[in-house]
Amino acid sequence: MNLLEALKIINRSRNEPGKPFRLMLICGFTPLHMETFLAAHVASYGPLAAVTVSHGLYGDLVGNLERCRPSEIDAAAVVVEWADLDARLGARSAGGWDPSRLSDILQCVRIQLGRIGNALRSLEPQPVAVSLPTLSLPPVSFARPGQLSAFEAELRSEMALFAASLTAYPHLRVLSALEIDDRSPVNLRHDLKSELATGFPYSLGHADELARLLAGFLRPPARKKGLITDLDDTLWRGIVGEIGAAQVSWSMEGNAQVHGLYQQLLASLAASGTLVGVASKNDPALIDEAFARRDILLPPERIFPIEAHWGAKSKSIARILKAWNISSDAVLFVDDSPMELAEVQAAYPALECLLFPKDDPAALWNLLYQLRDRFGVARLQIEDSLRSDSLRSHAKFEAEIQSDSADIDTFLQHADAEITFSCSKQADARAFELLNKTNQFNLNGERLSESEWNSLLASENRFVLKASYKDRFGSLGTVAVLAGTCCVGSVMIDHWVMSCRAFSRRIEHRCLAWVFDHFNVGEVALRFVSTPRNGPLQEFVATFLGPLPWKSLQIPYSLFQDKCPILYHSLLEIL
Amino acid sequence: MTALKDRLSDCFCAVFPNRSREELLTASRESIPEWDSLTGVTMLMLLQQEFHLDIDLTELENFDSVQAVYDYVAANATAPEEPHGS
Repeated sequence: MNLLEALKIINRSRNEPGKPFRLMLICGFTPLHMETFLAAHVASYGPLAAVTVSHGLYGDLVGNLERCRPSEIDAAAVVVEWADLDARLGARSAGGWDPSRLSDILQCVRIQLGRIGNALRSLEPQPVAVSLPTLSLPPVSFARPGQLSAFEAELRSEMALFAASLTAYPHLRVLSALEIDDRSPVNLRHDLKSELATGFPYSLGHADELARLLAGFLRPPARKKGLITDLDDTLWRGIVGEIGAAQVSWSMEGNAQVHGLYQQLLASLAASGTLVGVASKNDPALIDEAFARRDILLPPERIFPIEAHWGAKSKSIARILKAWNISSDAVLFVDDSPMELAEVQAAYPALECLLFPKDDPAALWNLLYQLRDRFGVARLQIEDSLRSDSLRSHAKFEAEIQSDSADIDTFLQHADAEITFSCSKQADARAFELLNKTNQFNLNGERLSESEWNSLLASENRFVLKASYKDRFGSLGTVAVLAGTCCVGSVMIDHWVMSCRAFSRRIEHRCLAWVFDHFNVGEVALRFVSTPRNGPLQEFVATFLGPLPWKSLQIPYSLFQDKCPILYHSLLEIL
Repeated sequence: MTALKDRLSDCFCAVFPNRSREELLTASRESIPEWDSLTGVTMLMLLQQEFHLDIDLTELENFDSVQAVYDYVAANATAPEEPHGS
């Protein structure tokens, strides 16, 4: 992005409806173009949004940080440079580089890092993107630049320990030095002429790249949910139907390491909450045989479902999307055949299709990074490790219901279902994720920014209910979130989402029953908005209020009692 | 309007989004209160990037009107002008 494009984006975004995103840029240098690029990148991540950027005083990064009030911002970007840690490490000071001063510089750096760390922690819960010094160190030490001096080694060690300490806090997202090194050439970052004349130390290119990466932490793009992979010449080298399960390979010995690396990444993604499915034109028995091999790196229990037949791949994709119950734009498909990719792409234009470069290790390495980028998470939640298992158990659950649909009550009665309700208003990444990714059982389709969610949690007159579920088929983790307010005699629910994996278990009925019981109210009002995708929610509400359009969005307790089916869950409440 | 003037006008519109294109044609530092030193630096960097110029910061003093900036760019731009509307 160049400066003109950035300014044009900012000007266009000013007309966007809704509350502007309040961003604070905290730095010690003149914010100038960093502010421009940051506003433009934050505005243009996802749907265009208006952004207001505030900043503090020149030359006082720590003071700016300490003065920042989390309640007054939606997010912050903190850009630290060497001069913020000790002015003698910057170009606009001449405090002396005498060797006798080096230990004092280190001491000052430690003190400043301590203050910065404290101030960063106090910005919780607002999301904060942090960039640690990205410019070269000035030639402070007496050693030749190519030789690592004790001074530089100690300084780097302090910085690494500091960065590691920040990663323990969920609201802090520290920019990886490797990533910025990869994106912005070190020798093109510093604009000394600009720093001396205006106090802005970065070249435009570096400011743009840094701003882009920081903005990605503050308004991250939607994470993909599922990956569908081909098998032959993709997950392993060779055609299993031709050479047999024992002969396909994914190892160094078999000259097939690229497939081993791919399997290794997929196993890691699956363990981090990514759904992994297989679409292969193959004989299912042979596939079972290959997955039964002891040296497989992606174990079959990490994959669900496996679609193996001789029909079109797009048919397999359709069945997998149905099993996962997610839309195609949340899914990525990897295959070594451009023809298969084209066939799937034609059927699902929103699905991202990537070629597996079986003969190009460099391209494979890029693919691995690309996949990590699409599916990466800042930190793991318990639900991430449960996702694949719970889908499998949901499929079993649905199959059992359908095989005995005449007596669903008997089935639910023996499901050993247990719901745990929590009203904790502690920041909860899973609840926030559910609110922002659930489409089908969603009261109004409203999405919340992290800061809006945090404000909601902090609001005294609001309640939040989170429901976790398990039954004899397995645990689903936290599956429902409901938020609202209680006035005399009535509750208004303004956010209500439930994972599609939790359908058919009457969890939604139990949630509503809890609201009636807990607040002892005569009616519950819903801030419902019809969306193109919230049909399941509409069906649920229709069981009480009849078909759309609804004259009133209030459910009286008597009506609820009358229409609510028997609930068999055992309950545990953590208030 | 020449292609150069048009491109320059784009730059000024981006820097001063609340001013009309017509107003900016004859604008000066005196007529636009938001034309301060920081805006001047933004404009200078924008001109450098858009017209492939290396402008000394001391030139900022001389950039006191859109016409003055146009004269400078017309005299110093080395990159070929892009076709109108590109």
